[in-house]
Amino acid sequence: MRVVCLITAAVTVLLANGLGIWQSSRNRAEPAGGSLELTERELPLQRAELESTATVLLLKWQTERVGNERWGPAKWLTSDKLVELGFDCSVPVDSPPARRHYGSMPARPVFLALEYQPPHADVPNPVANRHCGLRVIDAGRDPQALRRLHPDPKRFAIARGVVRIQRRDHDFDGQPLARPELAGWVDSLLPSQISVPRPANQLLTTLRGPRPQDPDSEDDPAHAPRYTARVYWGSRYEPWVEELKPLRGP
Amino acid sequence: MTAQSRQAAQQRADRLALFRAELTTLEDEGGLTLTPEQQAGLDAHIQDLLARWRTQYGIDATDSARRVSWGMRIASLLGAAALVAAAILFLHRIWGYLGTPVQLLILTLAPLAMLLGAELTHRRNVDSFYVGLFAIAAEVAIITELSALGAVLNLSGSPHVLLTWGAFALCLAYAYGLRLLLAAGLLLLGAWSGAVILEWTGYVWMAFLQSSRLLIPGAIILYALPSLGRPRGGHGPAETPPRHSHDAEAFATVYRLCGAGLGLLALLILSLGGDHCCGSISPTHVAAAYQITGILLALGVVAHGLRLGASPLVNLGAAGFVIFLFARLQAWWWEWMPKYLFFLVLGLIAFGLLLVFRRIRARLAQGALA
Repeated sequence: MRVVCLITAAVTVLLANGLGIWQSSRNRAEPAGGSLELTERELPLQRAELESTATVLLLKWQTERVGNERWGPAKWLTSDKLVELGFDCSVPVDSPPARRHYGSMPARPVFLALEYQPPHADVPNPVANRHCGLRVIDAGRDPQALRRLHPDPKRFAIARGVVRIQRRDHDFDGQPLARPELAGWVDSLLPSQISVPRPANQLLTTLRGPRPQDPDSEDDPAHAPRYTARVYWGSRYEPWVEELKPLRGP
Repeated sequence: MTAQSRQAAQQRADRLALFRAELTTLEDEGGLTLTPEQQAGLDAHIQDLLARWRTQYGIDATDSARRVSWGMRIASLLGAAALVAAAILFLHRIWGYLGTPVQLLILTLAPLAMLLGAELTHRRNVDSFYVGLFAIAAEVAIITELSALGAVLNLSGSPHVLLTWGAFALCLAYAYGLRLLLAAGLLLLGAWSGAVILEWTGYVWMAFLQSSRLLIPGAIILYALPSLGRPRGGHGPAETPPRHSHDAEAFATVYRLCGAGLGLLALLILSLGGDHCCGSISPTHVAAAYQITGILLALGVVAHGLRLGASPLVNLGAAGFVIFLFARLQAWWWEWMPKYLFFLVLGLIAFGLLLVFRRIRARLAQGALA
């Protein structure tokens, strides 16, 4: 009995790891999700903790928002879009059970369309060019249908993400709305960070140091992006990084 | 010679120590008097047994030996934790210099190495505490390494990782008779059942606690399994069948505790957070229904625990009953009752429950003596 249990435990470890490696190989066999060349603004280096030398890039993105420019809900996540993504919006927003109905609804995994808009090279304004150029512009449950809507794989990537719904009865200034409304939020990309293996990470290991991650600090031209990286999204719409190149300074 | 034999020998040595202490007390009270020959024969027999077990199994025959052993266990626990921290921090330091194949190899080997350590420790007949330490380290290793594997390969995550962790814990629990790992494995499998259902319905699987009604089917299965089949515990040597059945009963109790605990927790979350299973019924009534169901379920667990003579089940049911009762009373009375009166009534109810639990304890004691 003990030997059977131990063999089963060992096989479990090997199977789980093997399955993860196989999934990753299958994902990387074909970049079905597209590829984008992003800069350090969209892929900042994650700060090392506990003396770690692991190189991880965070995937930063923005989207067109309602109300608050930084924290507001996505403008394009209308009620119709939320229904299309599978949320149950049948309960009227101004009815008594609406608060609990929408408040208890978990987030949904979806596919997101990402668009990269690089800053204009001929506009030397660091303020105008400081924002992250990766934008989430659309969402859907079928990645092929999303690709048909955004066909250029060099300009639009399809990635996994999470969207949630919220019933709002106050605006961002705390004032009550005339009528409650439904809002949609893009919570995160899945995964929200990308591990960079050797040898691609050799450039990144030379860039470690106290560099602020706060985008507001990018008014200073000294904080122009220092590298570009080509990010691919594979057949499972999971990302990986290749072709990490340094950028010349300003 | 097995670790279970060592455990049985240690338990008997502990019983002999209690027996000698009680014998001295009875002699002082005049309840029992042994002749000098009987006393000498008894002492010689006990010394012979203890000497044999000390040589064979390395048991603690005296109180001072037991205290030293506990000191060794604490030192081992701290030492093991420090060594594991050192290994992890060292890997952090060199991780960026390793290629992906080497990283994946290290991740795969980590839990296997702990598994090997547990088995070698078990075969050397070392105290089962150290076997348990290696087994827990193996479980922690597989949880950490699968999380790290997902990060290295940029995977999007899956609820089946809970199944892997739970199955691994169950294998270790059955291999070495470890109830703590059995409980951890069963709870992970219960969580997996809820997470998978949530994923199938199109939601993010990590929100399974938010949709806690999905945990109830898994909780029912866990509770019912000991009655459907006989889960075997860590099996002992053939010459001690009563201890084998004791281990099996202990495992069955863990199944029921995990099932009841998961079910009661799910009902509590539902009753406090609200659940829109039934659109036309008001949330207040739905919450009340969950709380009353929780109270009845807790009473059922108490009753079943009394019937089985399983005091941990009785304790869990009693704790669940108290929590649900207080939640319901707060919902009924808090708004309109003067606050001093509310707490006065709660205190009186608590005293009433104390009297009930005293009667339950007396019944349990009668069952144990019978």
